[in-house]
Amino acid sequence: MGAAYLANEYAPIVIFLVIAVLMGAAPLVLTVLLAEQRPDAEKNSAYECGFEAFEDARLQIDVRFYLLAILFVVFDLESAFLFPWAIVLDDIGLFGFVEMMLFLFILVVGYAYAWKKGALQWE
Amino acid sequence: MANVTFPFPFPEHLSALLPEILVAVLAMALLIVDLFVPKERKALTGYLSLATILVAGVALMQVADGTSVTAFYGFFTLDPFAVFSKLLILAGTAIAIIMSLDYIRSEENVGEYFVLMLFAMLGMMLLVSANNFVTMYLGIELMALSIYVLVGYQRDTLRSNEAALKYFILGSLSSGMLLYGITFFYGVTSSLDFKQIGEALAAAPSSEHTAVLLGLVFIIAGLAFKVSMAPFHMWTPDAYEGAPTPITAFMSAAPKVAGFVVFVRIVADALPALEHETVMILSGMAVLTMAVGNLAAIAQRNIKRMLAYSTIGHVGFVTLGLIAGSGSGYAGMLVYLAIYLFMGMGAFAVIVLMRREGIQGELLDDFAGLAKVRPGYALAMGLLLFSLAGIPFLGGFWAKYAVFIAAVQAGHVYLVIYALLFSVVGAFYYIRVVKYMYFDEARVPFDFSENRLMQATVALTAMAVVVLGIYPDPLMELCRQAVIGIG
Repeated sequence: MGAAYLANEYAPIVIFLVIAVLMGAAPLVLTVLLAEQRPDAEKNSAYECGFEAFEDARLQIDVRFYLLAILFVVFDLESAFLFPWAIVLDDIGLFGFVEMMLFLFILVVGYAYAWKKGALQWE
Repeated sequence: MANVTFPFPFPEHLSALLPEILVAVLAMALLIVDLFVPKERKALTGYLSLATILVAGVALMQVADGTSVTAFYGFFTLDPFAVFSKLLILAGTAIAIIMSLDYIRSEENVGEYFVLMLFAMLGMMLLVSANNFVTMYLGIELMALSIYVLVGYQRDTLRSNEAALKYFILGSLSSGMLLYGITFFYGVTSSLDFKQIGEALAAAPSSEHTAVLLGLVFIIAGLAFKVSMAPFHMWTPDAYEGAPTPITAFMSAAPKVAGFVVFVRIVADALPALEHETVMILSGMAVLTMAVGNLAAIAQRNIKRMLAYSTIGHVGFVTLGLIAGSGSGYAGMLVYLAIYLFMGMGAFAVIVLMRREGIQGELLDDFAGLAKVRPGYALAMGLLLFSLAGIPFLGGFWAKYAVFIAAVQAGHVYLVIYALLFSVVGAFYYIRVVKYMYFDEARVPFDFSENRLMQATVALTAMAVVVLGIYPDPLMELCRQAVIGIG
């Protein structure tokens, strides 16, 4: 407990943070220091297979994608839960099975609601 | 954590969760039923959610037997403390739903609105039964996520959007702080259970509390945000102003009950070894909260903003009970929260009743001359405001009395003198509204909602304040009974 605990348990995290920052910064700093720099207008311009860039990369994205993405996240997480559950199903027994079925049922209610509300309709 | 045996046995004492299970199942059923309710009859969903609350209340009274039961592998506790606060939460949610029946008739997605309120209520019910950090976090998130959406419910109103976004971003930040604080406690004591943490900390010498102290600061910050204690109150006025008024009323009462109850459990069960530090931090925050709430309220022209700051002021007073600790302090908090629930929500109900060209009467000026047009509303509002100011002998007086006495008994005399000073400051802005209602000429034409249930709610809350003011003993005794065994 106390200060010794902080030092022991959190020191690796601090070291990890320092290394991560260094790894990220090193290529940027090293190119400036080591490489020969002879910039001109052409080199500094953005290029796209040799053509002039013809529009901005920052487009407005249809809000409907956002709805689909949210629904996707829910089911993505569901499968993330299902894999470990399936592997330890023998150990957790009937109770574990019932719990997961409850979880799935709650998800299905939400899914049915979204479906009936027309969240999956494109037009 | 208890020894884990495989396969898991079925959880013991599952019946203690009956009210929560019923609310969860019925709310989900309501979500589906609402899809088939025609648009012009959406009030039906509101009445069905009121029925759900009634069912949950009956179930709660069935499972409550005055003893303390731990269920679900020790992750859930049902004691008189939890039962009493759950009843308060159910009452607060029911009042907020009654206020909403007319208010949101013209809006879209009405069904979602009521179901989200039920889910928020479910989160709070879990929260007051939490005896460890996992259940607590689950409850807080279920409550907060539902309320974020409700605050931004009027999607076409810029103000509502702004309020929801601010509340959401700051709320996520505070949840992060809370989690970060929890990791310290888990790291040091290898437990998430409040009582076990308390035992582990008591066993360790106090020179080794550094890491826990860091965690303590983060946890208090996270919880202080949820109950809008200064300096973590910044979201409150904006969120209260932008939210639909029934939701503002809901937020000002029910989540505060839930937040303070879990605060009590943490302070009483997990932190006795750090009592000195906890009291020091909380005293500083209480001093700041009372000042910010009561002083800033004076400058407000919008009554929702004014009541938001007034809530902050009251939170400061409730914190005195938490600082006082022990049975009488916690009982005082419960008395305060119970009475505040009625007077605060009653005042918001009057605001909901006053509507002008579809816009709610939100400015202080809108109340000018109310006494001549609708003496009944003005009388009810006047009683509620006098009670909020703590004038004897109305309910609000006994609320303050209960926490102040407990704080004096615990030796915090200076803190109580300071609190008394700010109650006097607070009285000014409450009574100013009364002056507008009774002594000024009407500046704007009135238009009133004539919903009978709403009028009954206003009348009942005003009556409750008067009755509790004359005869507070049963409530005080009930609260004393409820906290036996806490701390």
